[in-house]
Amino acid sequence: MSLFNDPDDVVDALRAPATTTELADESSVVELMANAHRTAAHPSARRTSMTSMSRRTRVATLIAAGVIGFGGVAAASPGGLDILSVGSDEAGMTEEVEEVTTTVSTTIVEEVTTTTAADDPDEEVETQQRVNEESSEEGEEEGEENVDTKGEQIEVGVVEPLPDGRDNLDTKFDENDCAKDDGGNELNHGKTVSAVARGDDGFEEFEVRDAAHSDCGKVGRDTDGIDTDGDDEIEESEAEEATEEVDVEPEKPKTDQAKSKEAKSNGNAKSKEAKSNGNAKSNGNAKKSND
Amino acid sequence: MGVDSDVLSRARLGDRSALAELWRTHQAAVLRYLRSRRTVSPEDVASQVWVDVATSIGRFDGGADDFRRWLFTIAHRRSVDSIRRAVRQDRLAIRAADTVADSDGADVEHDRHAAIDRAVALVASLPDQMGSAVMLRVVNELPVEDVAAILDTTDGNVRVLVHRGLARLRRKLSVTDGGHATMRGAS
Repeated sequence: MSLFNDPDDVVDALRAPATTTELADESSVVELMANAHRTAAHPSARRTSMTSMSRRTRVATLIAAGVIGFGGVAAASPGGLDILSVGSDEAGMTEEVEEVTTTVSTTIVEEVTTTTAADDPDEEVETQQRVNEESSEEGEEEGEENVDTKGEQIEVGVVEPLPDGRDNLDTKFDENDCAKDDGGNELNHGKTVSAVARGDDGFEEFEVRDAAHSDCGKVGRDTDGIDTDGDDEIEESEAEEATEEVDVEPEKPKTDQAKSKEAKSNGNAKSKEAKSNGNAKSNGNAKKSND
Repeated sequence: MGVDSDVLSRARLGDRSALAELWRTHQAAVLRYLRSRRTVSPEDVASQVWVDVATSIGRFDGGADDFRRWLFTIAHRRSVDSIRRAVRQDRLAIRAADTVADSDGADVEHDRHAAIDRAVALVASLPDQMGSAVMLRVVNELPVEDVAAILDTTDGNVRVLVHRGLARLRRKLSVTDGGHATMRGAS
């Protein structure tokens, strides 16, 4: 049995009011419609968000270009070639860049220091004299040991007195052998050395080096080269003083070493300062990259 | 079946109640039209139709009749897209005769839902252009020129399609005892 006897019945059925099934999900569909209308009615909002995203993209691009540019400068140095082997880890790359930056800064500072010392010889001489003075002061204060800034101990040579009053075993020349004029007065140091160099009578057996190292003709020394009092005890006391006197000759290497260590310490201090500056720079860069 | 101009005016401004009223007024007609065209997932396609309406209603300018013509134009195009998509996906639309066969012998013959389903199945058993012409011109009472515009055909062809469609429905219903068998044969 059919429900419809005529096409009009079919049309009437198709025109019937909506059923509950057909009107289900009203709220969800209306919500979709409202959202669609809101989106279509305010296209400027969508355009604005795209614009701001584009602006953020531009800012990020600028920051990335800055970081890459700085990294390129660092990588241009010989020590910066290792950066090419760094992986894609962002933290590792930052650390590598910091190391490269520090290396470059330290090298530059050291080169500048060396160049300045070489270009200005007067300053170098003054620096050397200052180092010598400081070294001698330290030697006087610390006695036989000279402790440098790094804690290394340098033994200072001590002259043992000779039985005959000579101050050096390797030197045959003695202040008693100083050149004297006809009146028996000791000539100055230069004339003594010249006499040895010429090989004058009585000076053939001496060497110029020994004569030059002697105290002949120096100010403050007895001109006659003989004890003023003629007392042997005094001579013994002089010998004792000589034992306490710090020989200048072995100090020279000490002063040289001290000078070099002083320079090193200065260089280290400068390099440390430069490192700290470099780290500060790299930290700034890291902050920039983090930003 | 139409809505007044006030509802349309508020709907253009995005008023939620006006949009809901438009939906409640025309949802059943749209859904039945989609089903008569054997659209796959007619509920989903109807939702897409209403989203399109809400998106473009701000630019809509016209009365209730204009709105109905515009609404069925969107529904028809969405239905065509759905059918083409289903064919590409090798999903055959449910034949009207199968739907009738499934409801054959059910206890819901006197139920209104069953009557609507049976009527939709009868129209769906007609050829595509013929069934759409009947639904738009006879059921929804759209002007001939509007139906011709929606179906992308001429006014005369719309009249012919409607005449032949009603005649075919009448023949289907003339056999009182073998109505169901006739509909199966028509498919």
